[in-house]
Amino acid sequence: MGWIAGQPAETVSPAARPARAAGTLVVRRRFRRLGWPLLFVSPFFVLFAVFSLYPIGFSFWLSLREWSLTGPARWVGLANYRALFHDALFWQSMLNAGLLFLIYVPAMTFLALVLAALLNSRYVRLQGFWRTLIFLPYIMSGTVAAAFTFQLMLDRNAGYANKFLSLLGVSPVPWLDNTWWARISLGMLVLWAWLGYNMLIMLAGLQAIPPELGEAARVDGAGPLRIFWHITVPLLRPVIVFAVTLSIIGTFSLFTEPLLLTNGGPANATTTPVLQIWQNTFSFLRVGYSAAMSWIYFAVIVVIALTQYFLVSRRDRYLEARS
Amino acid sequence: MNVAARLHSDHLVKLAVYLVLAAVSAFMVFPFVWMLVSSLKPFTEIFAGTHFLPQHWTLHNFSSFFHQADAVRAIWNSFYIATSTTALSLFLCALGGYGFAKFRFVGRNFLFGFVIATLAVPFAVIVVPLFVMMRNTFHWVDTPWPLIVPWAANAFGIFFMRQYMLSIPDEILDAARVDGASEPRIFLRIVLPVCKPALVSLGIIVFIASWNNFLWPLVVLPSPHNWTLPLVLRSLQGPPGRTPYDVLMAGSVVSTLPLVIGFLVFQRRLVSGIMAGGVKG
Amino acid sequence: MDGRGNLRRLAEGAAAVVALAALVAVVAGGATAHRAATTLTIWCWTPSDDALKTGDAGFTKAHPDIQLNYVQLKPQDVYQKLQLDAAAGSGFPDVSCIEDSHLAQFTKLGILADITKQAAPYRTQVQAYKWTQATLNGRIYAFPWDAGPMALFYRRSVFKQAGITPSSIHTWNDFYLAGLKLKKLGIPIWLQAKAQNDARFFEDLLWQQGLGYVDAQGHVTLDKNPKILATLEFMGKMWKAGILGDLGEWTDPWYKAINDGNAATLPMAAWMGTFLKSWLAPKTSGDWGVVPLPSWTPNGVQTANDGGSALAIFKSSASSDAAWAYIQYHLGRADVQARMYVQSDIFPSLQTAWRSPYMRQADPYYGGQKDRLLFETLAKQIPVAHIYSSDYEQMDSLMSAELQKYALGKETAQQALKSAANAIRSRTGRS
Repeated sequence: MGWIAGQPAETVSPAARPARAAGTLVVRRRFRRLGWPLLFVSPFFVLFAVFSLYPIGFSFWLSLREWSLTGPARWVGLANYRALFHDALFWQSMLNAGLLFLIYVPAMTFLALVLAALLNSRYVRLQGFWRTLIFLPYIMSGTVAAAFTFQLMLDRNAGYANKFLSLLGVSPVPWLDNTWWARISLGMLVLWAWLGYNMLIMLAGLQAIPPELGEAARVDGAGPLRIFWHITVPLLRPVIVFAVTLSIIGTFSLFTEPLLLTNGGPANATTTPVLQIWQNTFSFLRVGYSAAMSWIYFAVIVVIALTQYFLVSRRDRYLEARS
Repeated sequence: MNVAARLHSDHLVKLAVYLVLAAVSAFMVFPFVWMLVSSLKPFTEIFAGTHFLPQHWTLHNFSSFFHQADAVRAIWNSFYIATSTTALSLFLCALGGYGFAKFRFVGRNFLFGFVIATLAVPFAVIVVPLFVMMRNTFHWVDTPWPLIVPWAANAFGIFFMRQYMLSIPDEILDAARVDGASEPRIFLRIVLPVCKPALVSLGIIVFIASWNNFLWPLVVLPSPHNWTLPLVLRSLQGPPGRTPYDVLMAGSVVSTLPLVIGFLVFQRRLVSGIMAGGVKG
Repeated sequence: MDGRGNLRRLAEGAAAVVALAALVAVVAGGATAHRAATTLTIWCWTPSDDALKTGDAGFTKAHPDIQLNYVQLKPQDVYQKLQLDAAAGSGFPDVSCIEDSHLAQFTKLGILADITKQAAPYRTQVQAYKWTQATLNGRIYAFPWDAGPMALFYRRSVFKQAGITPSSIHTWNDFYLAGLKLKKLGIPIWLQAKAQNDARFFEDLLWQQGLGYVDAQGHVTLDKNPKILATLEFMGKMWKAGILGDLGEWTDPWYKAINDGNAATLPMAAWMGTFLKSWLAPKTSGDWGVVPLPSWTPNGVQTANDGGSALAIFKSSASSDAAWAYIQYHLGRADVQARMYVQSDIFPSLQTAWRSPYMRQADPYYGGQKDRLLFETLAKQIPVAHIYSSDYEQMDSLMSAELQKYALGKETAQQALKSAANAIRSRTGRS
């Protein structure tokens, strides 16, 4: 992982440590080697311990109890977890997140890759200009404003999306009124917000590939598409994995967009796990139940992310073995 | 293939590429344009949905927005919370990134790995207990502290700063140490100034995230006079039974405009920052 | 060096900004606290807030020291904010409108002020069933306001066109047959969305029969009572016959259909009148009439309850005496309530208000019909039912999901009720 930080010039190996006479010098050096860096990185660990680690433990403690934020928290053991396995709405939300992932991630990865390749190619001038335009929506990712704007744009009657389609002679689409179209609309909103960001990551990866590799293949007579598929994409694999992992976490964490764009509907088609956790906490005040829900949700994400990682890394090892 | 034919297909490819880029860019920019255009239309026109441009231009929606909600206050709230978050976050992430980048100490790689691993914990898992802590332990509900403090030193920022700082030549630091400078002095006087580009990039990312934050402020800022812009947008009312798109679009323009301006000013830094963060070491 | 100087200046600047921000926050926070001394903050939705304001003139004359600050919010937003505030422990108003459907939930949360003593004299003056959701363990936490007696609003011109006499619709079967007649003209008799159904009408039908999600002991009865199954299957029968328009409630196409006469009837509560008259279909004045709701059996109950609300004072309020004075004036006085009814169709559950001469006036919107007398008669018939409870929001949400699946043909009525009942049992801990 990257290069190792350089060592200060006067570091002395433990074996050659001088004896007692220079003890204080050693202590000062040891403090410098250990004390300062630990002090510098400590804010993260202190804040993490207080505001993440403790809540994680507290969340687990809560998940074994029934509590409505006022009054005592009642021990119920694994009852919340058992009830969760029968909670159709919760599993529906997990399924929705999975469907959204399948709708959104392949499209996003493909587009980001293609756009990055196009921007990186010799055909395009003013790379910065296009980059800026495509990246612009990032500043509205996850915003209330974006969700409402899309809601208006996709409105069956007043929205411009259907107006635009009618100009092309296509009949109006029930963007937000039909279960599948609502999912696609949600995916579209997320794609719009994050495509630029993912494109930039891919672009960075592309620019890190030495051009000689492509040149050599071209000299050998390979066409641009073959070069792209057999050389560029495999080399980009770590970047693609990174982007996909971020997207897994992203699609499974959606809250603002489904809440405001479709309010989890129609017919709970766009209800996401975080929406469910929110509703159970702040609408129904079932804090213990929602804590248990968040743990199951976390477990599922970890499984998916790890599966994705192992599916890919095995291929990586294969690639290394071949080269 | 002869030269003429190749040039011809070259032109075709170039045209196709530009078409694709233009189409995608149009899709990206259109919602902004739509938001702006709608904000200048009266409510009836928005619902009629017949014309793209306003037939009767009006600024009434904006005055409505400022009249209906305590918008000026919300703008101030959003601003000072985002600024404070960014300032504190930059300082602590630079500190952490420096510690991991430029020092060798026992357990360093393990601890850094741990930092990265914490990125995997979704907010949904800790939102409830964190909220309970804010309410019962710290009594920070209805204050800006829950928004500023918990993620002041966050994994992404530390990773980002470390990535940049790895490229600082050690000789400069060692020379300063030999000169007798203390570690804090080295950090403040040498490291931070050198990292200005990365600080600007990270600062923009953090500022945008804080400005746009919705879920957590919704939970910890119940009183309207403490609301940030996203919360105000959510609370807007309009004609009975209908989403108040007119006021909403005006409010959306108001809350997005500062970011658009900042983006256009700082976009090169922001882009280079994200691209640098994207290249895994 | 320049770099250092710039950095220091930047740091100083940032520190100054943060300090200034903190100072402003403290000052602003203090300033707001000062203002709240004699002002009542009242959360309400439209048109109820307009109704309340009709009583303000008289109230302000009697209590010139009390200022009123109305905050208009949609009902759903009121509940979300109250829930968040209950979680956070702060942010409450002094007084809020709360619909009966959600009242028990907030009573149970313990955020409402105990007004048993103040409300005691009014107990017999208000319809008995209205106190149910406001009471917990014998203490009263809210003051009832309006009831939602249901009737059948119909479009005179549409009925004439189809050759239907409104008085011929006695039972739901008659309603169904009338729907078939209207279908030949391409007009739906009523609107019930499939994919967006909110189960409200289903609940109304249950209320009419004195049924509910639970029985008197709180046990879930959805899948145990054959009458409930029959009710759901009746809705299915209407869907299958195609006599119900597929439009989501409170959406623009829904408003348009009602305005244009593409909904021949509206089996809804009295408060629907105010929406129709003010912005939904003001130009159709005179073309509407009201008859009792169709009943399930030839001489059965001809109404149900849909909606109804109350006003509650919050425990955290610093002006609870002023708040009670407000409620007492606006909801406890027969003349004020009667006037509110006339101006905004919000039917008072305060029985003394029914003696007002306003009740005998003819309403031009309904073609000169004396609709208020009809609603008074119907209100007296409202049966006791178990639709509203502290878990209503969850029950309604879970039932809606299953109802939508049933409407879309994805499951049978029996499956829908069973799934809903099981989900409710597991989610609410009832049996």
